[in-house]
Amino acid sequence: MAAGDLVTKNLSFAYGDVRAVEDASIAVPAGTVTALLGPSGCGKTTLLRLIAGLERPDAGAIEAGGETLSTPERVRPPEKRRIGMVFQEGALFPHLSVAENVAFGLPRGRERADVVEEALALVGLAGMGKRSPTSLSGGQRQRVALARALAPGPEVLLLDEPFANLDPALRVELRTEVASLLRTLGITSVFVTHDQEEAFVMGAQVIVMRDGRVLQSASPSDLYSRPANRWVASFVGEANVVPGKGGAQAAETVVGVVPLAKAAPATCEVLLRPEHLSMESGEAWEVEQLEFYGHDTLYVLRSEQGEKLMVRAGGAPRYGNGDRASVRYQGPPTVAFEA
Amino acid sequence: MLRAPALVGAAGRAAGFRGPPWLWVAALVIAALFAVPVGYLVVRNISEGSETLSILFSRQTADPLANTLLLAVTVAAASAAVGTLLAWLTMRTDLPLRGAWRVICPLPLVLPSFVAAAALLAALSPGGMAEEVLNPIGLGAPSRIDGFWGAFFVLTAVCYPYVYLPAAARIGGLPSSLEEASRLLGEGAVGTFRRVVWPQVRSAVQAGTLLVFLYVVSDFGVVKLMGYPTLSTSVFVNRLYDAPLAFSLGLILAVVALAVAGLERASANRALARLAPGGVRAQRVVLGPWKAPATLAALVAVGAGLIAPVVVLAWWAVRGLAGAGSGFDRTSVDLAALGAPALNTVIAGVVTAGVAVVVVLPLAYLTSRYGGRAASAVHTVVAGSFAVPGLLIALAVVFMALKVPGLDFFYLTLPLLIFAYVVHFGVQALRSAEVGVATVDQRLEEAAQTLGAGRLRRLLRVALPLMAPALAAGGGLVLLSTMKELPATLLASPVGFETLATRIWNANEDGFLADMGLASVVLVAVSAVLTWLLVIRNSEHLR
Repeated sequence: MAAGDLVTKNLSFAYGDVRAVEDASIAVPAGTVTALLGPSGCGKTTLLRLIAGLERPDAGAIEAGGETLSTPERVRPPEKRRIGMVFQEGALFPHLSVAENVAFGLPRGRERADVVEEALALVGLAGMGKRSPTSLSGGQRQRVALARALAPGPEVLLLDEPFANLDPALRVELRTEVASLLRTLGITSVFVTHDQEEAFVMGAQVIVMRDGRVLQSASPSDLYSRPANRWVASFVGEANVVPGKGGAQAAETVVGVVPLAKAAPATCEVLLRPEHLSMESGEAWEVEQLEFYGHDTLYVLRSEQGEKLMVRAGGAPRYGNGDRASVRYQGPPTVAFEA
Repeated sequence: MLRAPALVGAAGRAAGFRGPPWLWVAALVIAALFAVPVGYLVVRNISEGSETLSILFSRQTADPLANTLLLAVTVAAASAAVGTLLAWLTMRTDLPLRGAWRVICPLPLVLPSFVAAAALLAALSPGGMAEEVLNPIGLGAPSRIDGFWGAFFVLTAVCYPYVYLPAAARIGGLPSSLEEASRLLGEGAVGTFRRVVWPQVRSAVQAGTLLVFLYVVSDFGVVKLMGYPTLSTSVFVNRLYDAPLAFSLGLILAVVALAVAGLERASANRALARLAPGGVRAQRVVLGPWKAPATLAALVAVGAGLIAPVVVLAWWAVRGLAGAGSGFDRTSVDLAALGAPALNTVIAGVVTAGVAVVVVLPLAYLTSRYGGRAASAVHTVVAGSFAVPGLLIALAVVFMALKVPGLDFFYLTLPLLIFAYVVHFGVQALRSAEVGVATVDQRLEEAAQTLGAGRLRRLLRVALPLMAPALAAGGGLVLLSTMKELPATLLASPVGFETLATRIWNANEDGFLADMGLASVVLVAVSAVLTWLLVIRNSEHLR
């Protein structure tokens, strides 16, 4: 596979009657990390397996660097694609040592041992080659899996929820490490996760999927501030979606006039991120519930008409249950969806 | 997340043909080969036409059929009772030396049934052990046991482990909390067994009992030695001068075996939930005054099925080696004469095991990785060939080689014998291979694929090493069965190709009891080692 962008065009795939991927078109720019984000069962792992050549698409095509890898008629087999893959729980060969696992994809030759040692050093496991995979911790296993996938020098690296089965602290540590490693290596990577935080930390681009369809591809910050629809808005973060009267540059809502990034119809729903709202002395809203997180406090407010609003404010709670306040929008231009 | 295998297209999917087409081609060819012997049996009977029908409804058929059924049903019932009782005693009571009994109880498996029968007859023969032991203390030698009771006794003694092993494994796997709950609710030991344990164990006992039934139906050696005419002896006797009769009787025999196997499968309740092991050690039923009778019962079972025959055979073997005369033409034997038969046994067994493992591997991939109705049909063909007596499979392949133009090349050759063995015992390798295939996580193969490994390299470097233990176990079971198989070996062996089994048989027929004893001891020793390694050591009831 030639270096270059990885592209899928109108890709569809079904397991029997279950449509796993439908009309998915994505583009992964060469040398960058893309996160495939979605709830379980959304088709993100299937899309990854299609890219790897482990499944044959029912329709559409996969191209890399201008070369066609998969069509319904012809699928270049995975072993001929120069694509590395890190599986959930590693999928290390239990009958081979760590070094033998890493060497699996390498041609025979004198440099093989050096490459193995280099790859292991890259993931922080220098000198562990003789160990058996069964003697490793979960985090170490994923490191070996990464070293094994990287050793043959693939042009694309695919990672299928590689941190899903690690404990939270280790997950955060490993993903930071892997993110910086992938950036340093400049390898075109696609990374599957159901964790929004992980997607934002790892991906230069995040692609959100639901029910087999691609809903949006964007940078993490664009995705957060300008989600394509109401569902994406809530999936990638906390969201208040309130009714509004749209205009060219602003919308009228329960918290007053809110600036919009682009024009909205007269009847619309406006996205208000909780951290973009601030509370001031007033009577319109009553504090129904509050949660203190240390760095900030989340208030759940209720209006007399029964409307609900989440507000995130920095620092310790300044209001208690039953206190009344008014709310104002203090964030960047936001988006509105058709009601 | 959904995970499905590669499919062969909409049409194939509908018919249940899941999996790659090349695998299906291989599987269908193999399944067809497995079906050949029974197919030939059917074709032969159809081509004989009216004669077949007249034979089917004659006394020539009715008597041996009645005998076969009587023996099979009684031995199966007795084995079920003995096997279940021993399983309960060793797993759930305070029987002394339970740990040892758990190892000893399945041991009669090492004895080929015809060897046990021959030992019994040899002990009671003039100049035999019974006479020598009993005469000095003033007792006359007991009279000969033969006919129905002889066959019943020997077959039950060697067959009960087929029930014991699954029953003990199931009882051992039952959460003890169930029984504790029953006891706390006021039920006694016997009532708890009947109302709580038995319903859970029944399907295991039923499966074991079916194996016993099939074993008895296909048995040739014991009934022949005991002079109890059944379908299998009639087939054997008539095969040379009345082939149509032999084939008709054979067809009935096959139908009986397959029908019972099919009925058991249909009625079996295999849907028992896999119960979680019950944490605490099981409460032991205190036998109290029943301790002595229970121990005696276990001793009688193992004594009849294992200890007595082995002692008798060893006694003859030792006499033979010492060269003591006792009124027979040839009593002195030498171990060296056993070299060729032992080597032949090993060659035939090992080649059969190897071929069986290779042949069933594609089937195992289909059934355990892709599943579907078509794959389970293939499995049924292979499993059905085990229900059909080895005698019939050998008979069919030998006559085919003789009668079908172009196949005479194979008549009484080693490949023909091995073909018969593989067809008959293939399912033993298939079950193990299915377990082996299931242990290979498909993601490991996919990982290898993304690392650039082609189909052959994936098989050699990833799948085979991971499956090796299961495949070896399956091959070992086939080897064990092959070594013990008598009638198929008698019928299909090349001229002059003597195995330990046929040597024991011939020596016994000729009255060379010392020779027989020595060959038997060698066969039993080898079989014991294999049985220990493959069956008993791996059995769940020891855990």
